[in-house]
Amino acid sequence: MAKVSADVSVTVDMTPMIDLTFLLIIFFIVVNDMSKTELEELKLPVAMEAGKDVPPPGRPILNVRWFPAGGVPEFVREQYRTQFGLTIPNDVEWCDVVWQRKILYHPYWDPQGRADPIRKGRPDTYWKLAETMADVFVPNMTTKMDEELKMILPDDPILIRADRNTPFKYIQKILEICSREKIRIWKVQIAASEDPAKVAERAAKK
Amino acid sequence: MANIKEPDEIKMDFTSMIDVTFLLLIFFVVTLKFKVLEGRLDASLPKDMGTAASPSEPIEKINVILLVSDPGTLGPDDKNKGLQKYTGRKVRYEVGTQTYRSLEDLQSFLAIQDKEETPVTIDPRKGIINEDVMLVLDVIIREKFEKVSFAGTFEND
Repeated sequence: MAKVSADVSVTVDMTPMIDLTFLLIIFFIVVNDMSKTELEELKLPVAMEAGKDVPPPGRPILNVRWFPAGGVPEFVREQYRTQFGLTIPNDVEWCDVVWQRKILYHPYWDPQGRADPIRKGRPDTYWKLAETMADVFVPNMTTKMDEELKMILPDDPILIRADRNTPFKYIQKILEICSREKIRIWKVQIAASEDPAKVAERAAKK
Repeated sequence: MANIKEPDEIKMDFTSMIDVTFLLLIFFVVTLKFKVLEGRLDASLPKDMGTAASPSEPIEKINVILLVSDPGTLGPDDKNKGLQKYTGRKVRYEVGTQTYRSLEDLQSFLAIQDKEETPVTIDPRKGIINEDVMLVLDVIIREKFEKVSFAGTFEND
């Protein structure tokens, strides 16, 4: 019978495990797309012709959230309580515009004496959104001379991501602001999710 | 002089590093959320100021007016938990003097138009929601119209 020594010290080689772990970490860092913080959780309308969106860097994304009366989720209510000291009433529908996690418009926005530039005599509750567009969006856009109007206009698009149930008047208002003086963004993209049937079909082909 | 003893071997303690590494790994696993697949539809706005109509009226254009026939009821969406959806919603589309009650009818009208030259304007009226507009925009783009824009109406508020 072979002689078995009782005190063999077992040393575990950690190297492959550490290698693997680091590889996994690097994989998750790469896959984790931090820019998604710009996208609010919304249910987009479905469109069959939705072109696949390759986001150009720096394109402003306006998220439009909409909730029916009494249907505002708790985390949104909390956001309003801490940011604006506002309690959202239960009997009004709620719509807001969010850009990079910042709320730029909500129905109770204080016009601070500003008047609507197009419809005279009405308060301008969208002034913050208009100001952000003019001061932040437009200066970062490329511009192009428009031959017809003999004017320099921004040549980059903005993306509007609106919940599928949003009354279109809110989106129309954003479009109207785009055409205000000092902004004049005329390329708009509206986000839609791809038709589930089309996605399934493509998956089946693979 | 003090007698310094040469250590035979330096042993590194890997425990804390592995702890940190695993913590990082777990963090990234937990926060991972794959990018959602999103598409977009392109449109353009009139380039001139505000909502005034362009001074030079171009050749014949198609103005699609969206009107709500039946708003339907907003209720829970069976397919998406926690979300709301309209059921029984009916929208009609007016182009000139014609009224189309379904998207198919509108599409068959659009199919026979001159797509390269004719500009199409979408004019949503009171009560129209984002989804209604996107369905129409989708049809217009499917029919390969090149000039699509939105009308500015104030009837809404």
